Amino acid sequence: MDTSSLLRIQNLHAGYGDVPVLWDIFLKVDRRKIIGLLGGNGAGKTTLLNVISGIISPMKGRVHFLEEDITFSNPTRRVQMGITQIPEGRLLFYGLTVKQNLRLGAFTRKDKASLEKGLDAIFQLFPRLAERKDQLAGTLSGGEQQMCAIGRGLMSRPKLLLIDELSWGLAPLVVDHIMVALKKVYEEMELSMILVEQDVQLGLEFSHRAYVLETGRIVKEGRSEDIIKDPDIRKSYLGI
Amino acid sequence: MLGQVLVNGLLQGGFYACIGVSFSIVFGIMKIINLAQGTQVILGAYITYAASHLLGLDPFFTLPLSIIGLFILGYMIQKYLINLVAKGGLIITSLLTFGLNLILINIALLIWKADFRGTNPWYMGMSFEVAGVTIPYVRLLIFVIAILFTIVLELFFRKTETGNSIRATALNPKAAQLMGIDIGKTYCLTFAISSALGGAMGTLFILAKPISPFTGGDFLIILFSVAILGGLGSIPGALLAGIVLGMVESFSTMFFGIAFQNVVLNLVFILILIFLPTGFMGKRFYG
Repeated sequence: MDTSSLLRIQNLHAGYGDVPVLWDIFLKVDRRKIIGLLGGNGAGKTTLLNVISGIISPMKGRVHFLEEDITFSNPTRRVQMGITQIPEGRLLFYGLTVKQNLRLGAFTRKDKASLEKGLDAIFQLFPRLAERKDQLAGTLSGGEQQMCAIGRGLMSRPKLLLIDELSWGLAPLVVDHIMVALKKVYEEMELSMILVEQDVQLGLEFSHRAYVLETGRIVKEGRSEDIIKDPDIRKSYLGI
Repeated sequence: MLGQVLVNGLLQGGFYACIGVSFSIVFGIMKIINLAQGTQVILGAYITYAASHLLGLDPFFTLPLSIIGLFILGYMIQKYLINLVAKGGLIITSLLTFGLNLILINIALLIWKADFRGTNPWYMGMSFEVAGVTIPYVRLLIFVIAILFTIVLELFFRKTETGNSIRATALNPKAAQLMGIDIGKTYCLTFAISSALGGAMGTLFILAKPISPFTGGDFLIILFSVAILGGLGSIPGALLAGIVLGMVESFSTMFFGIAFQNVVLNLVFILILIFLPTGFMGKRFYG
């Protein structure tokens, strides 16, 4: 058995109610790897993340995490096992302070004593958050909100971080700044990531391997450096 | 005279604030209108009535019984009834709590009949006087405990992790789920806390006044007024609103007589809806 694999998805079909959105998905995430999940609007990227987080139950297929079958585990159990999602649009708790938001990220952690250490690490990564730790999250700028969302996600000490549309609504300069921080996180904490991006260029530059989704099916997968050279991809997504 | 009216209003207002808070947290956090809350208060009062008559306990010391009893009832109601239809929206849940109210009233009728029942502790009717203002001990006790419960609840929501997880669930259920917060359990806990607080208020109420199974209906206008005037889900707002309503009631009794008390309260409620629909402390980041 392949012990380096963290997440394995086999023959997965999923959707909302009776309407299927994903067909026949096979996906694998190895330890310490960044996976790009790319594609246009409505391709099913967010749906796939929500299946991995346990928000949506699949119609068919299996999901394994750390060799355990989690196909029908609830979201709480998955966060405890180490799967954390940083959702599209950040979904911060706007009426709570930055610090309260971050602490809630560690809701499932049992070792509450080391929570302060975790907070310090987040504040070191994003000093802006430290300055604003007692401010309501709803009063932060877009970039700061994304930092807070990432910080909140990291507070659970994830093994697999699912990041949905990190660049959504942010200025390119801010995206660069956050990407640098994320790279640091990847190097310091031993984690894997699935990066969902509409900005295909960004997604490919930042990942080791990538999957391209089109209307609910995986149409291409492979090493990111190969995919970025693929003429079809260049034509459809990069406009070159 | 004026001093007496003010003190009466204040003492009554503390009680209104606390039952208002018990209703407001369910409304504000889960967007559920619990039309059975008035009757749950009455059930708390009946627990006190039964325990004080059967066991000979001082009614005041039955407070833990009504709190625990209603906590369990509230948890069950949310878990086995409301959670099952929560996705149906406001109208479905309102119909459900409306029906639940009728069932609870009829259970109370079966057990205790339609008669008015009260407790008569030995300290009933005793009072002291400050600067010409008469303050009954029972009323003061009710006021102090109601305010104390309200403050403790506010601290629970602000300072504890469980309290914050409830607020987080209210602000963004999906994000709360992604943090690993169990939404179903959080809703059960919220409803149970609301019911327990209502039950405690029932114990306090029957210390001062006798009740029948229909008394709960009289509370509804107070519950709505406090919740709306205070700002949905805002505990400090509800505290202020309760005291304002207590004053309104006290002054209207003085000027128009007790018969018009409910007329004035309803009028005030309509005026609130027209001129102050977000209440004193409606929050910017709610809704």
